[in-house]
Amino acid sequence: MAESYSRLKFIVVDDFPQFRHAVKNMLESFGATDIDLAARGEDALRMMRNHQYDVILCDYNLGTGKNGQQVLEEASYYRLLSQSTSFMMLTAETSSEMVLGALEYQPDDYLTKPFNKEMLKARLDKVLRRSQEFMPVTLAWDRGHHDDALAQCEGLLERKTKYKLHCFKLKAELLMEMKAYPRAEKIYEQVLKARKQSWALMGIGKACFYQENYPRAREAFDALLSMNRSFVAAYDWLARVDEAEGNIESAFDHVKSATRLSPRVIDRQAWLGRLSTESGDVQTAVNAFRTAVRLSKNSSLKRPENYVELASALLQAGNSDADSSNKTSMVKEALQTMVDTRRLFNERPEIKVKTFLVDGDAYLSIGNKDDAKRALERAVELYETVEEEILDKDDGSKLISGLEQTGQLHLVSRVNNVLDGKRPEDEPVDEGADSEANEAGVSLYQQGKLEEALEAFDKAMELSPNSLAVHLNAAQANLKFIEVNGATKERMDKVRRLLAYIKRTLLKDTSNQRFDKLLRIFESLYNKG
Amino acid sequence: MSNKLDFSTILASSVHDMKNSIGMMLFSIDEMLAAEPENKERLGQLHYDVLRVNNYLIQLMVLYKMDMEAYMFNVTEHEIYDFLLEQVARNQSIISSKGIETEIDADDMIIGYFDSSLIGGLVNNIVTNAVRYTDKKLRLSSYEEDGYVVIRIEDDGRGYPEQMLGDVSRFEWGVDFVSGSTGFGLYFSSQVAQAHENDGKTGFVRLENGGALGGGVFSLYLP
Repeated sequence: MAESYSRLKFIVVDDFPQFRHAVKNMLESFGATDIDLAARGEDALRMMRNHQYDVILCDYNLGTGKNGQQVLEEASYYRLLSQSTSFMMLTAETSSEMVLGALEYQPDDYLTKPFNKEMLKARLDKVLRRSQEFMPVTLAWDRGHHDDALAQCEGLLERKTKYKLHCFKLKAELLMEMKAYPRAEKIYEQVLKARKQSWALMGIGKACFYQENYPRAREAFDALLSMNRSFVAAYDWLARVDEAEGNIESAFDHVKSATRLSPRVIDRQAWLGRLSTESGDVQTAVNAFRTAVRLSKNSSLKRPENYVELASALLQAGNSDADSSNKTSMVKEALQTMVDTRRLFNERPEIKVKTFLVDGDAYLSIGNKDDAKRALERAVELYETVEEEILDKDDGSKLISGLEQTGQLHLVSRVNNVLDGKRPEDEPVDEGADSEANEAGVSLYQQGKLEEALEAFDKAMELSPNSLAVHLNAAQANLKFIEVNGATKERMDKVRRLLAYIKRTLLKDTSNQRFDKLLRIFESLYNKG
Repeated sequence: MSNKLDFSTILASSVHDMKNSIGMMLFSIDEMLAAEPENKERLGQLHYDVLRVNNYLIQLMVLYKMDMEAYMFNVTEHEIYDFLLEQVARNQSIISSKGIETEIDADDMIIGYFDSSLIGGLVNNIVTNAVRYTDKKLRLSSYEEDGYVVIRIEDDGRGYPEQMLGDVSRFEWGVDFVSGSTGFGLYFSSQVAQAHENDGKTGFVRLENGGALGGGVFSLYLP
């Protein structure tokens, strides 16, 4: 096995330096040579953006920053892991349950601390053997060839693989991704007939949910909770069933339960905020959005909607508060939140429109008509620069009703023009101009200094991990580099990750010409290689 | 709000912290064993004692949580052969330092369903003890019987005392009984085994003497 270890790329993530080095020594004694170390989750994610690791050994408790579960979730979300990456979580008994509760993002294996060299070896050998056996499946899957991946699973089952259940699990997950829900449901059912397994219950619940068989979905998620009332994901899914059935009260309760168990998830807090608003519980809404915004401070998953919704909830709470000093302080917080939002999402006019709309409401609510007018005028100017594909028409209606309230009727026609698809001038939006590194990258790229341009874009991505423009630039520069210098696996993987990120970021059902073009170049290179 | 931490938080965080230190101790002992083979007997004893402290901490934590109904069961499938291999690997230093021969006898295809950290803790504890009491040999095996997967740990030592033989769950646990690592370990084993249920069957533990090696035979039945 020593030979195979030498071919693999490892990363060890632990906040305890002695431990990091101890694990590194162990890996080296198995023949591994390519081992990176990271102390914090944030560092690990940055390194995963730039390198494709075969094995990730990540501690659950990483001190003050992200924990191991958040690293896994973020890495999965941004597609930094390929299907064949092995993610091993290192846990203490006291933390394994927190990892388990997550259900949706599960590591390939856990190893409980303390462990010695022999144990680590035994466990890694096992994980690598399994990963080796499933390589044809995961390779096909990574390339998006789902049918081929399914056929490979069938082959393994025919050859009586000893990982029969794992094979069923992958098959069902593939079918779920292909939206072949009835077929996935059958597999989960077959597994459950033999034994009650949490992943299969989860699977059957989801498969039924997507087929709009809500009673059966509910039954499966309830069964999961009767197995273990700490399965956070079961509450989340029950809430989705509730929402689908129009039962907002019950959805609110389920999301509250999930939030109690696992309060540090940004999207869930935002969800709680939205449900609170719908249920008329403005105070809970304010608290939930505040938490969502606070949590996203050290995360790259910053969602501008949460900032805007926090401000709206604050205004609502302020309006319903009898105490005028409370109201003033909430309006102040809302306005400050919008200032922060504009700073954070400076390159996104579609977001800035929303922030100025909130400003308008805020000023109106305290009777400051002049500032409200200024805010709305700014919103109109920005609305004219929003790209067609991401234009939010609701914002247009809100703008018009705001302008009517302030008496700025001369601006209404400009909003109507935008809504009719007429723009003052057809100039591309100045994307990410605030990022110095990005500008430097563009200029280096134009001078043909590709390597330096790539470095600049890497830096720019680090500084603004949410910027679509920077990711597009980086993808383009990397593709150019491949055209000039030839393809390496590392470089191709990097482009694949960048494109996957871009695809995720683009709103559904919208197309981006630049992305489509880059994707075509990538695919032609891929098929050549 | 009260500014006092609840006991489970104190227990959880201090156990976590102690285990970091234990991990480093075990690692240092392994390094010392490699560097100073002449001290292998004394280091082996040290290793054994550190493992005992570790096992105690885990059991304490788990029993406390089970008692509070706060333990989160995670029953998943496991290939028994690999699982047993890992339990031997965990005790490798002391096994080598005492020159004990180990044998694993389990069909490649046997799959068990259990919570790996609970059963891992249980088996590891029995193996650590067996290593202590055995003479030269240790045998881990697994087979299927009557809808159960059985995990057996056998040694060639003196065996278990007469009054302990049979189904462990019928014991009356008193302070006298659980004092001493064997008693406490058996109590833990029995609780953990019973927590595993499937299809109307419940897990249990049997102790016998004799077996393939003529010493103690610990059998864990998992449904």
